[in-house]
Amino acid sequence: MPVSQYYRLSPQLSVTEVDDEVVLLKLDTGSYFGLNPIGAKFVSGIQQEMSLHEICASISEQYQTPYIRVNDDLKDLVDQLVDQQLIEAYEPG
Amino acid sequence: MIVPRHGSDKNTLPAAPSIEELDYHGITMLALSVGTVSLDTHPQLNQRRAMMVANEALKKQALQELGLACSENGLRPLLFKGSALAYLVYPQPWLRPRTDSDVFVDQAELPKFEELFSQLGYQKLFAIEGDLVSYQATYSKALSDKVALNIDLHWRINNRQILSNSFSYSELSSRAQSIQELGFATLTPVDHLLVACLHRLGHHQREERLAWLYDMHLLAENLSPQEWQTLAERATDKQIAAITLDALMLCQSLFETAVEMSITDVLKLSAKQTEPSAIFLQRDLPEWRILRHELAALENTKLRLRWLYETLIPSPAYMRQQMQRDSLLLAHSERLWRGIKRIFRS
Repeated sequence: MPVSQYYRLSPQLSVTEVDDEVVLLKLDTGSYFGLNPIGAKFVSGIQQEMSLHEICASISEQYQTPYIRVNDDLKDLVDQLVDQQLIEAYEPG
Repeated sequence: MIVPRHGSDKNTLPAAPSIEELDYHGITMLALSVGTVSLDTHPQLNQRRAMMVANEALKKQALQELGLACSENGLRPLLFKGSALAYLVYPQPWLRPRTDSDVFVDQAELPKFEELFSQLGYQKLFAIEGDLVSYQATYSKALSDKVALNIDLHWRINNRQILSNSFSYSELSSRAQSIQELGFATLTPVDHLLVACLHRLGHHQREERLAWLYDMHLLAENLSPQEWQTLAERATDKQIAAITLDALMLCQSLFETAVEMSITDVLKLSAKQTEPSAIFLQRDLPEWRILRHELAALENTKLRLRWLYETLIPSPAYMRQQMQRDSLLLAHSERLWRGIKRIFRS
């Protein structure tokens, strides 16, 4: 998974912010995923059309956490969200 | 936000409420949102909150579809009680749990609603039926494996005969407001508050849930002086001043709801008159006495006999389903025995 990869929310997805967390819901299947504050920042990042690399860098700076660790954590999250068809990769035009 | 006073009264929460108590009162998410309970001590609530948020989004979509379909078919149901208030007075709709969404409709349009619900994939749930024994029907649609939207369709404002004519559809509809987010018409805040007072005692005479009282608190907190005046006049006019006053006073003691003394004075004065609805303030009134008042509220002997017949002898299909028996004789005997026990126990 290249760090310059871009992701976007799947169609038919409801995004609800709850405090500093976020709940993603596939409206056509009813499957949902609750994300912690870091996950919420990832969702916010892809909504702003940032690449995975840009999102990792932003979170790393904000939380004073090594980039590589944030990158590993987010890759796990991305895998799960892609598996559940909540997000999808795309090539920016 | 929510500051229920603590004490030994059954309507208040203990100092450290358990999740079960909060669940009973329907205020767990509300308590979490204002820090009465914490995710540090109840981490399991995080998952439940995500589920509530997701379920709300599913139900919202279905309600929007229903609202649009009604509009396209020239129907104008009034969404009221929990689902409407969740979007009208709560910071987030998922803070207000409910098992169904209530809509008030014109009785003359029931066949059109039945047809529309069928087209939209709703199924009518089994319930006692008749001209007088019930003024509502429930339609349900599965939204996912675990979530369904239940619509309670009401053609009178309350199932109790004493209260059933307190507000007509045409009256409430003539003053209706809109919930833009859902595409439904709804009651004005004044009407909503009065109907909530009816619902608290008429439909749930022996229950007291803080969620219902908190609905009233939030509605009351947003009323203008002119709306308070209207509320007092309307409660007086409809002979529901005593039960309105009782609900407001309880909200005041629980949540410090601001109620002008001039308004409580008007309601107190009106409540001194004999109001049939005040019977429901006697929370421990035996069931047989309530039945007697219910019968008296019907206009004539023919209607009373009909109500008794519908109450005592429901349809064979209902009896078999409800009592889980093939034999109608056994089903009726068992139901009669249960009814007698309930009346005497109360």
